Amino acid sequence: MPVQKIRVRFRMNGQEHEQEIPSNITLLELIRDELGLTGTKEGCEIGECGACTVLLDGKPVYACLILAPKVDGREVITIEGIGEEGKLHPLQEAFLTHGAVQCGFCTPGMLLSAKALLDKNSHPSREEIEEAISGNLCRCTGYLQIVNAIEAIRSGEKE
Amino acid sequence: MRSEFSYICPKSLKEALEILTDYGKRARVIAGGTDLMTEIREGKLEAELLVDITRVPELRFIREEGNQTSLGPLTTHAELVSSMPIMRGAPVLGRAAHSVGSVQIRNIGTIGGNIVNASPAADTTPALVVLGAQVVLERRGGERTLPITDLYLAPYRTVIKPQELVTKITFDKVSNGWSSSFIKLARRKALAIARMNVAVLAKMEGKRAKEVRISVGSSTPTPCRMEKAEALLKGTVPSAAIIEEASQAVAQEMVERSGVRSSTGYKRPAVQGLVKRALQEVLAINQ
Repeated sequence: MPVQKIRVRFRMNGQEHEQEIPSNITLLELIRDELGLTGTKEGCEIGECGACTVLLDGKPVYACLILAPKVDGREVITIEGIGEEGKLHPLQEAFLTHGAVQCGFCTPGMLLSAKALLDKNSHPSREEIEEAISGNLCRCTGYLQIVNAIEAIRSGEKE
Repeated sequence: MRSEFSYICPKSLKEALEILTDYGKRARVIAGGTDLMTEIREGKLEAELLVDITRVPELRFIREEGNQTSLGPLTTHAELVSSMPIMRGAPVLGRAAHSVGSVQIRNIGTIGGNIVNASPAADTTPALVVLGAQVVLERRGGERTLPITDLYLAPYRTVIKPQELVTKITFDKVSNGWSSSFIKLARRKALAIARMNVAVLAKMEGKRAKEVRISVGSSTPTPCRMEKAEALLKGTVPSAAIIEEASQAVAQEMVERSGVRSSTGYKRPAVQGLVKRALQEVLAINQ
């Protein structure tokens, strides 16, 4: 049986998209392969590593576990959608300042999990930060620098 | 080779049930998809049509009706965790939902999916078992209601027919005088599938345990209550010795139901320890 093509309309990073896509691809493939936005990383492909984390209607989800046709009528934010051209998002700045980026593979997902947390809770506790990023694996930093970076944003620290 | 299928997204319960009746075994239902997506990727999903029920408004609700709480199957684990009616009326379910996967999984995975996928390691199942949850299954022109324990035939197999959809999960509130515990044993805190999990509910009357309900996940072929241990505790004034005895009875019942397996050597002391901790918590016995 041939793969059915589905027409989906959705908003990504503030832009409207209308696209014909195969019924059986993932949101991750839609983002990376169909739209060419490769900031969202492909890691385990089974919803365990968090590298593909994006925001769907403001909530962090694993793009590798979302069937792409499900985005119809919804809003997606990827790492390309935070910050502005030539100006980093405060979280990105904090990650750099605190040495929270080493190999960088977990970073886009980690930033989006952190953004989702701060969007709904501007003063999270350290425990809340740890829980918010517990679905994102990092094999370099040991997490400490990442938690410190997010905590710095919380307390309004700039440097 | 990835599974290939057509995709449809019904906008009402009526439409969804029509489709399921027409297609029968040729259709599969998808909600959050956290389990199904790995099947699709591995080419194991054999269906002509994937029916996405996430836009069916009748399936998404949390309601309190008198002494009962009812849930739509599309309720996500995150919604359970942040729901006052759940945290107040069924905290054991809230804690179980909170132990599922990670933030990303809880935002997508649904309680209906957790039930119908019938994984023995499902975290919400032991909680629903001790709550005595009833599950409503609807098909075109009819419905039936089953206790959750009657839903399961074997790991990953249920009595749900291809034409049927879970449309509601109900249970009595357990707030007044009830206490509860949910403990999960896994390799790490987040993103871990339960090696074993325990849900316990207890109602005290004065110093006596009026009723105790225990269910252990990942340890029996199908979800059930541990009735022998429950009977041991019922009516007693809880003590460390009785809790010890009841924990041993649960381990014994697990072996009776599952048989001696290669994992029994470590599961027996593990289940005993988990049940003991859960009972100590709900019966407020410190050791």
